[in-house]
Amino acid sequence: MIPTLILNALAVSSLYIMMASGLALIFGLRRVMNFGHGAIYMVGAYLGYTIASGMNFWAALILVPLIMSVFGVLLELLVLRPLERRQQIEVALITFGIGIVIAQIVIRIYGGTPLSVSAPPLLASSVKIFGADYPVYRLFITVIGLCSVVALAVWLNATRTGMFVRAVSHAPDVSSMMGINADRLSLLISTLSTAFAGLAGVLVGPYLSIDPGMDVAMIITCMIVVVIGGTGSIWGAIFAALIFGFVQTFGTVYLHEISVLLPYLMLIGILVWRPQGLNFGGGAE
Amino acid sequence: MTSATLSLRPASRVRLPIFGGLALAVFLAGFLLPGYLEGGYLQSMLNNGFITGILALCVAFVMHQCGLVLFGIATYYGIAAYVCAILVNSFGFSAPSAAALALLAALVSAFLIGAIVIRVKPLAFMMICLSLAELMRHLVALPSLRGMTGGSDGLVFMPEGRILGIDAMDMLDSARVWPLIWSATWVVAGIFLVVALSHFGVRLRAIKENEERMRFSGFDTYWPRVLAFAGVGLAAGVAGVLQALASGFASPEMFSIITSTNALLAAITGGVSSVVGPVLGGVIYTWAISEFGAMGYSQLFTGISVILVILFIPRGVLHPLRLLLRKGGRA
Repeated sequence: MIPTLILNALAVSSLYIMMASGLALIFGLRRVMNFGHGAIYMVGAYLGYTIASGMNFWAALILVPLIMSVFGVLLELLVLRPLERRQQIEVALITFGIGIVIAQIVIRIYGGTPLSVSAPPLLASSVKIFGADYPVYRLFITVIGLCSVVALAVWLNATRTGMFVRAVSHAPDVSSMMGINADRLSLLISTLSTAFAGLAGVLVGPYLSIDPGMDVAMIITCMIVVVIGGTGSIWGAIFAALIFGFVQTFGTVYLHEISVLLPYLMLIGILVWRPQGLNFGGGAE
Repeated sequence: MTSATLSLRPASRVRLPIFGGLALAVFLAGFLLPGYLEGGYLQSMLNNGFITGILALCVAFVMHQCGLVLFGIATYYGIAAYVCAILVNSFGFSAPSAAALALLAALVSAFLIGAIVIRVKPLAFMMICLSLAELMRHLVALPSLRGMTGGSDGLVFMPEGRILGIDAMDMLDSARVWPLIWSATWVVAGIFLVVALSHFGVRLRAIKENEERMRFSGFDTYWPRVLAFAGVGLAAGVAGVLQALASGFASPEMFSIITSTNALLAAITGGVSSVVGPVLGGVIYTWAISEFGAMGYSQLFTGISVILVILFIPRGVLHPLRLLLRKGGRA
C-alpha cells in the first residue's frame, strides 16, 4: 500500500513540478506570475487528445510541446515584452484574462464533457512492485518528471545560458549591465515554460481525465505550490510541488474527502510559520 | 496624489453642501425606483448589480487604501450567505439573528485571514486570497457536509422574521428587497468614504506609499491593515447576506473565481479612488454579463474585459476625465 502511494505521489508531483518550475522560471526573469499557465496546460491536454486519437500518443508527446512552445513565443512577444514597464500585478491580471479567454475557446471547440485518452500499448500494462501491480504509465510520468528536473538542474548549473538565467533572476540590473540579453533569455524561458505545460497536459490525459475545469484547478495548485515554495524560487517550487503531491495522494487515501482542503490548510499553516514561503536554494526575491 | 477625490481640498469644502444635497436627493429618489420598474427583469438585475457594486466597493477600498489587489472577495461574500442559510435551515434561527451572526462570521473570518495574508507580498496576497475562495468552494461542496450545506447543489432556505421592517419572505420579491439593497449600498459607500477621509485612512495610505518609512516613524503598520481587511470582509458579508435573502439561496458558485473577477473588474473600471464608480461598474457589468450570458459567452466576456480594462483603463474610465478637469481648473 505505502510503496504504491509513494509512487502515485511521485507521479502527481512530476506533473506539478513541470508546471510550477515553468512558472517560477518566468517569474524569476520577468517578475511576472503567469496566471494563464493553467489554460496553456489545458490546451496541451486537449491538443494531446486530438493528436493521440488522430495519430498516436507518441506523436502527441513530441508535437504538443512543440506547438505549445509557439504559445510561449507569443506570450513573450505579445504580452511580456510590451508590458515590461507595467506593474507586476497588472500583467498578472492580463495573463489571467488571457487564460479565461483561451479556456473558453477550448471549451467552445471541444464541448464541456470530460474526455479521456488511453495510454499507448507499450505503457498500458502493469508491473509488480513490492508485490503490488502498478501501472507502467505512472512510472513513465515519474521518469519524465525526474528527467526534466535533472535536465533543468544541469542546464541551470552547468551551462552558460543557465548561468545567465540565474544571474538575471538574481540581479536583473547588474546582469544587463554586464551585457546579458534578458529579452532573449526571457524568450527562451517562456518557450520552455509553455512547452513543459504542454508536456504536462499530454501526460495527464491517460492518467487523470481532461475536463473544462482543469485549468482553474491546475493554476490554483500552481499558485499554492509557488507561494509555499517562496515566490520565484525554482527549487522551492520543485520541493513544494513534491510535498503537495505527497500530501494530496496520502490525504486522499487516509482522510478521504477532507483531502481537497489539505493543500489550502498546508498553505495557511506554512504562511503562518514563514510569510515569505519556504524559499530556500536561492530564490528570485 | 492619487487620492484626490477622497481628500478634502478647499474647493470641495465649498461644494460639499451642493454635493450633499444632490446625494440626498438621489438617495431618496432611489426608493421610488420600484414603482417605475414594477419588479421584473430590470429590477432583479439592478439588485444583483448593486450587490456586485458593494463587492466592488470592498475591492476598491483595499486597492486604494492598502495598495493590495483583493482577488478573493467572494470568500467573505459566500461565507456570510452560507452562514445565514445554514443557521436558518439547520438551527432554526430567525432571519435577523441569522443575518447578524452571518455578518459576524464574515468579520471574524476576514480578521483571521487578514492577520495571516497582510504579512505576505502583494502578489502572493493576491494568489492566497484567490486560493482561499477556492478552499471555501470545495468546503461547502463536500459530500459529507451535504446535509448542512446542500453540497454542490447549493442550499435553498426559507427565512422567517423581519429585517428593518421588511418581512423576510417578502425579500424574495425583487421590488420589496430593493430599499434594503439600496440603503445598504449607501451605508457601505458612506462608511468607506468616512474612513478614507479619517485619520485612519490617511494612515493606511501612508503605509501603502511606504511601509518601511511608517514603521521607522513609529507607526504600527500591521494592525491598521488587518482591521481594514476585516472591515472589508464585513462589507462583503453585507453583500452576501443581501444576496442570500434576496434569492433564498446560497451556492458554491458564490465562491467562484468569476465572482471575484467581476467585482475586481467593476472596481477597476469604475475607478478605485471613487465610491460611485465601483457601484456603477457593478451595475454595468452585471447587466453586460447577463446579456452575454444569454448567448453563453459570459465568461468569455469577463476574460476579454479583464484584458481590455487592465490594458487601456487601469485607473478607471473616469481617470482621463478627472485629469482633464484638474488641468482645466489649474489653468
